[in-house]
Amino acid sequence: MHMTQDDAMEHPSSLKPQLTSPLFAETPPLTQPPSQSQSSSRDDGALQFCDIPPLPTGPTLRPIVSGTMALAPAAAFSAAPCICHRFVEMDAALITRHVQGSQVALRTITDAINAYTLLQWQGSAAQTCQSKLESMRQLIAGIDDELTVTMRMTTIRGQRR
Amino acid sequence: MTQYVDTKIRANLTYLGDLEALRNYAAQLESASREATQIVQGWRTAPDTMRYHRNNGMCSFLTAGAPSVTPAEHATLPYDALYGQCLTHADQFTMLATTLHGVSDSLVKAYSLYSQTEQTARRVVNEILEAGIALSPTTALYGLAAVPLLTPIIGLARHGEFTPVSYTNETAWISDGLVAGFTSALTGAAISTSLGKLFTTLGKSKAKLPKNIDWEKYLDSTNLKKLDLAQVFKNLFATDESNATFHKAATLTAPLTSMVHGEGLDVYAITPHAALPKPESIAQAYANVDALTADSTSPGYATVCIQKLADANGKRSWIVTLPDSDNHLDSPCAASQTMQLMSDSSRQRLDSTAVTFVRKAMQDAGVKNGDSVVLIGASQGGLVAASLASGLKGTYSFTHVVTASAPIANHEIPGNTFVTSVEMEGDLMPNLDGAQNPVRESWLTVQGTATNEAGATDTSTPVAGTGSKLERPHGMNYQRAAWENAVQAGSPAVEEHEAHFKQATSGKLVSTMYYQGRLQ
Repeated sequence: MHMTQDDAMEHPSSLKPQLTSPLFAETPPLTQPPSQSQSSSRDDGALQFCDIPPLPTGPTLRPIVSGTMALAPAAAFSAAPCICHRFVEMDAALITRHVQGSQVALRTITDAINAYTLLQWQGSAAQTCQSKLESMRQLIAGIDDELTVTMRMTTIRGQRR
Repeated sequence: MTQYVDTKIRANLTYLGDLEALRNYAAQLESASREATQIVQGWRTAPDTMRYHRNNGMCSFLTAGAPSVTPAEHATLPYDALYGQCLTHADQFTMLATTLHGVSDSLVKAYSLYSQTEQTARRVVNEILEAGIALSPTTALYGLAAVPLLTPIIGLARHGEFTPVSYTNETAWISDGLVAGFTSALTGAAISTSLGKLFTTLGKSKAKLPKNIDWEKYLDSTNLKKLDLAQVFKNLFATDESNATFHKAATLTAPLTSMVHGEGLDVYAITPHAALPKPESIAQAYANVDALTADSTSPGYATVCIQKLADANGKRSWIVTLPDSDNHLDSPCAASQTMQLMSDSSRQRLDSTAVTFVRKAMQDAGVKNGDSVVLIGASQGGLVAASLASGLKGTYSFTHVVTASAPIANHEIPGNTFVTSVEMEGDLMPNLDGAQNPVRESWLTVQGTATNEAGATDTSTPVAGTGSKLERPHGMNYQRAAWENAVQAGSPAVEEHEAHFKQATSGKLVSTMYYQGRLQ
């Protein structure tokens, strides 16, 4: 369920972090609702959290950053992107890797098919197999096109700031 | 629920072209298929990995957000579409892998690409087993005792069930060695008849492999000079042990058989209720044998069907469809005849009442010396066909012999006679010869393997009239399904044999005669 600005104004406590772990210790309590629209960026650097959609009861999560970033002063977090960037990049890389692997496999298969012709052989099996391989060439071309479409889908939506 | 049959086609197709190149091509396609299968795995698991990233709760927008309304500081991908694409690619590569594997398999099967290799490997295993049994039958019996323990495990692993037939099914690949080895051991025959002659030459009176080999004597130059070593090597791997054993056994039992069954043979024509059609194909030939033999359609006693054909020039030819054995004591085709028909002596085979009955019927029907004859027979009928084709090759012109479930590997059928055989793995009857059929251009063997639904593949052929349990695959329904399976493979060897059969039976049907016989 999405919470509107009005909801937040009426029930500010709902946006208050409930946990007291060190991870959230530095997060100042949210006393005012965001002054800008939810889709707008936060430039004040005071708080970095995922505000769309806000969690109904729990704390808003500050992105977890790894390594030295985790120990950086609070100001550093203002420039840090949400954790989702990392996951999205990993997924895009995963798909890219599979697409590339598939394209290599398609080339190998095409080379294997083209390495020989069965037309010289007697027996209906040769003709049947040859026509199956011919139709596979069309299938391979179709798969290659489809892989291009998949590759386009790896363009990440949303920008880092 | 039904049983299925898959086949291997054992034929010599070297005359068609470079089989090695075809074998490499099939291997290359199989390798490409494996590569496609690996790609499938990647695409199948990718959505799960992405879901794990997306739903781990670190960013609620990533879980629920849509790419069209990506807010600042967040990023996403069109996940739902990507999941779909991943599965699409998995399906596409599955199709590629399946087709490539199917094409590779089809080529291997249709062109008998590994037939020679498999035959050689099986031969070596069986020769070693046979020699082991001959050298130490007692130890071999202990080994054989392990079979009942292992067979249920193998049967369950391979077919998901265990039935008494599993014993013959799972030991089919060593059955030749077992039969040849134990028959030799039981009757005291040599590992091979010819090898027996070798020991006789070397001064051993008994045609047995000696337990304590006197190498000094055997390697003595005077003795070695007596031998044609090439011949010795050839004989060492002879496959006629089983037939030699049957020869001995038939010699011993012949007087008893004559006493029980009688010696006089009365052959007479009969008119059955339904006539057999002229077989236009090998499949139809098997259907005719089925009709002649099956309990529901058989005329009772063993009956031979002789069809007279005439071509456009009036030249006559014949199709002789032979009966299987029956259970009547006064029948010339009683089951006991199998022993004589399995003998390694052509004379002994021709003297059997089953062959005598068919010869008399052929003479009565008007088959003359030099006439072209096509023989069709299953089980004991196949043995009679092979005995006629090998023993009377100078009398008639046997153009084509069609057999099913018949142990005829050691019957010397001339090379200009086409032989088309179907044998089922796990069927004891075709294993009685303890050898594999010769592989040559004019001799094609379709080796069927029965399986249940769990083991059936896309290329398996269902067997008519079968139930859910594995059973002994001796019936004509199995032989016919095996042939149908081989025809569907599109093998040039099968097509060549079909074409030859068609040509050999191309004349117009003039008359159909049926004969039965009684021993008196």
